[in-house]
Amino acid sequence: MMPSIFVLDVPEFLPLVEHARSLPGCKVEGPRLGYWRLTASPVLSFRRKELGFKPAVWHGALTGGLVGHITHFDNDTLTIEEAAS
Amino acid sequence: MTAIQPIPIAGVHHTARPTWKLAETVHFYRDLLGLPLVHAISARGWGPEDHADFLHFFFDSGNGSTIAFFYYIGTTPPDFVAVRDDYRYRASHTAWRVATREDLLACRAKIEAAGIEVKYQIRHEVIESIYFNDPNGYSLEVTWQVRPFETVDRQDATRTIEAAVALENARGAAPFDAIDQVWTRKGAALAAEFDRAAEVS
Repeated sequence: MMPSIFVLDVPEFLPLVEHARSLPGCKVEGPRLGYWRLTASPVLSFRRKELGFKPAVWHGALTGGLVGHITHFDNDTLTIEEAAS
Repeated sequence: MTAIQPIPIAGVHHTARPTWKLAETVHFYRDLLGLPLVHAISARGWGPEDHADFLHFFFDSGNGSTIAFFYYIGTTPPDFVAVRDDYRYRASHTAWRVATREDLLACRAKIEAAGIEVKYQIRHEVIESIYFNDPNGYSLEVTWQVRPFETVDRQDATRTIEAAVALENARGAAPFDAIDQVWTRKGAALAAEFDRAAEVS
């Protein structure tokens, strides 16, 4: 299954959605049930500074839910790939 | 899930902690932070036979709330109240509310002008806070909530906590050792609902 994340439809997380819209090949769905779903293949990745996130929000940026496997998550970059089956 | 009727409470009256630094505590809260001393109980020890004579005093922290302390006369602090430089110790803290970001910044300026070190100023998801310590080593926070909690926040909180509780309950079968597990469990449940919602819309 392609990696995706759910983003709660509230102002503090919307930079994720806005940034995803600018990424070629990234599908943005919603909002439904109060969430946006962002999906990309084979990799979904973000950089903190591009989102304008302070560290506290960055480290909780996946709180909406995750489908996939986090292969890299440090103070500046996040990469999610398809989960190994 | 059945919605339960909340108990009829109306906010914080007081939180209380022990102090063995009476003068410093009064000076800090009343004179440096400017919280009025509004009530003081002084009593012989009662209840448990070994209960020390004590003072129990309250500072007004706004909107009907107070912060209170116990001073147990003639005693020394037991080991279990020893201050530790550890995030798990700081988890116990008092957070006061301000109405605006301007008020938050004004608090910071006043606190620093009083010679108190502001340890951090952190923007969280829906709050921005400053953090500092009192003379006892207790953690204090002043926080400004950017927006009110909405239905979507409550629903999301329920999804998060339900996923985490399920993982905690399953610890006999599998370790619960990373937040990724919560996100993945929540994501799996949400993906199914999200697709169903798309079909009906």
